[in-house]
Amino acid sequence: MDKNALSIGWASADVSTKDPVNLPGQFHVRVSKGILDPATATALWISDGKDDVCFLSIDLVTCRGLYDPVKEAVKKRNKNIPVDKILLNVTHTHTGPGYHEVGVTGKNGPLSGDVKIPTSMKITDGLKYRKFLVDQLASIVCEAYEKRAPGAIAYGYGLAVVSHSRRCLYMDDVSKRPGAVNNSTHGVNGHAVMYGKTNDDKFSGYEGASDPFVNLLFTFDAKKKLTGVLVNVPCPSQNSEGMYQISASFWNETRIAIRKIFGDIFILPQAAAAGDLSPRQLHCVKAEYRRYALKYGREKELFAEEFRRRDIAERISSSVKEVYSWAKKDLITSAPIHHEVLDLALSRRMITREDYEISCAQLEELNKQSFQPEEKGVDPQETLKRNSILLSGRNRCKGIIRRWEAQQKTTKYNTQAHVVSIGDIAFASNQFELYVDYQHRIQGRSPFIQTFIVQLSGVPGESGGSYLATKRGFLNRGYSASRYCNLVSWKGGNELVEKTVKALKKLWSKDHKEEKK
Amino acid sequence: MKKRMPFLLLSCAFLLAGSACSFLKSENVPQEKKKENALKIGWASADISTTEPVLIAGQFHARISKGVLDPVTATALWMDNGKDAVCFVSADLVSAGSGMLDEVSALVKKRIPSFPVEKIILSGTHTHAAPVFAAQSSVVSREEHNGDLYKVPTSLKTVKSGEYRKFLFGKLSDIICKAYENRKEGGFAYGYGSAQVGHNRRAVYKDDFSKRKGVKKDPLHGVHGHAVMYGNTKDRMFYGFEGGADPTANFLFTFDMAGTLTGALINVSCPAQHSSRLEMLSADYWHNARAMIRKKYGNIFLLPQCGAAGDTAPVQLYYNRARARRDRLKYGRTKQYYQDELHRIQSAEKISDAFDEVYAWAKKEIFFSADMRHEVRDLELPLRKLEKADRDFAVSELERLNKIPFVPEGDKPEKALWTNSRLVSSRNRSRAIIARWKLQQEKVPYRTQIHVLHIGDLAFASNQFELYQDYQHRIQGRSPFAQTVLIQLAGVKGPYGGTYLATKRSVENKGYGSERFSNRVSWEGGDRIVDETVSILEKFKKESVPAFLPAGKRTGKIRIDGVLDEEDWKKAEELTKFVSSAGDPPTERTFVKLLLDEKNLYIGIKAMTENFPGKRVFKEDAGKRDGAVWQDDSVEIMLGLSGRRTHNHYMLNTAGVLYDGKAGGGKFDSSFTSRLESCVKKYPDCYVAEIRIPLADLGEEKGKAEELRLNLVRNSSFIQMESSSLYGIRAHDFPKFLPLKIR
Repeated sequence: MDKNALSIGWASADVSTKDPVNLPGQFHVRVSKGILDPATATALWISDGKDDVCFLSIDLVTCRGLYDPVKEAVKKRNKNIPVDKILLNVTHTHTGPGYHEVGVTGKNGPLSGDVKIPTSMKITDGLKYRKFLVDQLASIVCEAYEKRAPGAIAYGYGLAVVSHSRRCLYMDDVSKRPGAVNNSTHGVNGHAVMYGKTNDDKFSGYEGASDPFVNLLFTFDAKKKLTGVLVNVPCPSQNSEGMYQISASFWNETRIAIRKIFGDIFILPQAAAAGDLSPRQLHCVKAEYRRYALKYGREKELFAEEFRRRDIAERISSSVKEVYSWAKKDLITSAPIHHEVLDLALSRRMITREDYEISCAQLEELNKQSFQPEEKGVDPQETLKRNSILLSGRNRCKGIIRRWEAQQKTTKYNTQAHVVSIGDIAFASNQFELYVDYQHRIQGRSPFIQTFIVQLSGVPGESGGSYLATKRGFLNRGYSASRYCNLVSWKGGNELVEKTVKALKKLWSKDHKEEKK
Repeated sequence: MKKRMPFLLLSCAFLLAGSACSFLKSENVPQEKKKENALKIGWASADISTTEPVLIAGQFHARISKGVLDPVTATALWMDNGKDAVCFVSADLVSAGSGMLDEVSALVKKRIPSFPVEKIILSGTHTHAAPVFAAQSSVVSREEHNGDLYKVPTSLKTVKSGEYRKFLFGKLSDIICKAYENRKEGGFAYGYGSAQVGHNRRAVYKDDFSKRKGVKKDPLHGVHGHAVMYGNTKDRMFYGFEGGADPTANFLFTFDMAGTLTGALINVSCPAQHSSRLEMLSADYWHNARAMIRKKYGNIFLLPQCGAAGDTAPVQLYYNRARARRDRLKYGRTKQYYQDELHRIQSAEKISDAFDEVYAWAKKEIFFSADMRHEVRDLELPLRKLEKADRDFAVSELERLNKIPFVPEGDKPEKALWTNSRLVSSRNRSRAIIARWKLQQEKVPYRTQIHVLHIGDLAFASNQFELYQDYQHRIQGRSPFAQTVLIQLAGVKGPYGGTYLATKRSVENKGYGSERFSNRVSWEGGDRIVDETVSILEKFKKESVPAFLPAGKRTGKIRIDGVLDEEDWKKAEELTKFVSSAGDPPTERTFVKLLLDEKNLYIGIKAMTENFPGKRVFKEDAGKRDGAVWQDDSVEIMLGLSGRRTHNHYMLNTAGVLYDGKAGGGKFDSSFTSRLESCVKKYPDCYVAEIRIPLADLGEEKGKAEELRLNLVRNSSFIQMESSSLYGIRAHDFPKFLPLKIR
């Protein structure tokens, strides 16, 4: 057997539920009304006989508090599985099912607290779904592990325009404009506004770059037959983000488009750094919708952003096809794998006394507002929306107060990052919605031929997600760069880059030495 | 605009499988000639290469061509609608400056005295492998500045730049005249796709790069700050890219009257600069793109333009080993037959793929007539301000550089040329600063021109600069047109061309492209270009109001039931052009049909409600007749007779509550009671208002149909109250109300 011969296993599961569950992703509780398209989870296990990585991707908005239970459940099923090798990520769809409790007894979730679910509304306990979800995830991890068989990988990258900068800059500080809203969601704008208006006279451009790189890892069985592809795109899967049906967003159409070309292969999506990106072009919307009307032969979409999803799917699948045509020429059957998990203590985004005091005052104000009681003739979903928005507002203020208290004890935020090398390519994960500049820094300095950044990855404990803005993002302010949005400061972002690059260099030198031997 | 939508659309798959000819034949063929605003289109193209040894423009050192790698070409596209016109001219050149526009226009005028030369938009693709056409090369000698009489070594043969200039300008004037003379009735289609050709070329660092040890501070390199053009991304202090790289590829396709594709204008925000150091003539990636497209579509005309791309280039600054591996695997070799050959192919593939994708759907809507306006505006822009220290630095640098002797020709004339021409460039950059300082002291503004035009709902805006992309996004974001295409490096009157126009943030970051040598105009001047361009676009849009509103003739019975299912309704022309009070397309679309008979005006309004966030709840607070209906989800009808002082004002909310009154001279009188009949019906994605207004309502025995003047407004309460009106005509601006015409 070849030294470092690769063995590869895949498994996938549908993690949708027909039950009415909360769809996290907005500041209000949305109770699902069925499934538009399946939310799925996919596991890819790759081993070189010495080290392992198990990529586990799920169509969810975040994976807060999910990593530990999945590892425990896997361990329970098969104690031989090295669960620390699981690199879990979510695609950030805003229409994936919620797995936290919601409502009177809710705990842990972002909207937990004392909001009452209207009695006339049916909602499944998040814990029931959580159990189902964790079971499914553990099951596919075990299956992928058990199905490992000799195989090969191929890799490459293509260019596909999927994401666009979502941070519009203005010549003036928009928070100082007459009538500017001052709350925890909109009261955070400065020179930047997320999804700001581009027809504003003071619009000055976008804050930063987008990233058209699609990183691809193909897998093959021993007979060199394509078995699956890992597709890493710097874009959150959040078209149709306000819907009330479960959906994987553009990954659904993308999977269909890829499978139309390659047959029923496994597809594992990853979101690379995309904290400041989204699948929406903001400044040419008229041209965009004219394009769709002509291209798809109708003006009306069957659901929100249907056309954008189809268009994106076409571009990603074309890129997969293009890259496959040449990447398959270099099948790699053996490659050293090194997988390290870094425990990081990153500089927190510090809450100033002023922030703290503003939040205390805002909370007091929000606490005075009462929840709307259920009323006959009033749509209970509307009542729930209003009440949960109020609760979100309170929770955002409480978050600031908690962080103020926590930072008195420590200025560091503990998290984990995975760095994995497979031959000449590497993966580097983090828990954040990472601004794309950080990705470019890591990729620019990485010694590996290709470096896949995986954002929104699972970490131990209850934490997860949160935007990690750059210094310029911080200075420009706006949603995603506000005190509410950032647990870690831009300095912490720099630390993440330095530590990741250092670890990548270390892994590279290991392989390099091995080659020398 | 007149257009026809085909009933049968060929599938993309079928097209791809078909022969080249099948691509060219559109099923969208007009059955009859459209007289009003009918378009005429003409094309011409020429090879502007020369096998003579000429100086090549684009670097700080002189290069002498050693032949033609691939032809540099020029292409002209004439379009007019009988009222206005544009002549796009694109040349595979570094710029369109040095008096090119003036001299070419004069030659055109000489041949065709009636030719409207002000309609010429002449631009360069910014290839760095095309001949110098200036009377004097800036890198060898420049008479107006200097005493440098450094000449190309005698042992190196070159033709004089003036000779090529004469040849080039002759060719350019020739194709402009030919395009004009070739003009025939035809149509166009347009759209955009994605082709990531450019990448941001301004790497930003955490520290000020100029303060690093050993950093050069001469006029060629001493320009860095936090940004460095083509900076090293492996640097420990690398922060990211200053901005994005616009991936949009804009297309305008032209067709003859048989619906056959005749050519395409392709606008990509990226200079043609892969092979920027070649010593052969080349059109760079546009050559490869043209070859690929013509392989599929036959020998059509192709006119490349560069959108705003001052801060972008086809150069990828990171992932270069991944790229080399990609090249090796994809193209089966690592050896490139000329500089960046494989990267040029990749750029061309992206453009060619986007062409296929956009053409497949854009051709479904061919316009054979279109409203068209073209304005050229002279601007005076603020200079990029030089500090006295800049001038003093330039003076001392020039003094230092003047002391450096030219390297003798010896037995290495090419090396001598390289060294000496760089020395001349450095001196000239310092001289330019000194000259600009003088202009600044004399308070002479920078004079330039911009072109702004629209052809239907497609707009173009040109300027002479290497424009940073933020400016493009500002213009496009604020443009009221469906698609707005920017053209950089367009020729202007006078000797100047090119020069980077950086944004405020990039001026702060410095670096080549954003420093004192590179910018003649300040970022405030860039803002001014945006505002002036947008103001013309807005003016055009406001003027794009039709002469009349088409109304169908009522022939059968119309039941006022909120269902527009009668045959007359089906045949009536649909009016869709609602504009919000902010000048934008409204959040929700509105469709209107009109029917007339001798006694009544029938109005059918379909008000879409697709974008309501969450559950749709209409605002219906008016309660009773003549209440504040305008504050509800409602439609308003203003109807009057030409020349009268007042008009009737009707409003209906979604609950069917009516307001009827008279308006005029700023006064409103709700005491008027009409005999209007109406029905409002709600559907899942819209509501429909069906209305019959007796013309007798207008206060005369019998309303005179030909004198009718109408305006329509829709009020939507969804997110915040939004009012939109037909063609953006203000609600009670009675003189602007439109007459009706039965069609």
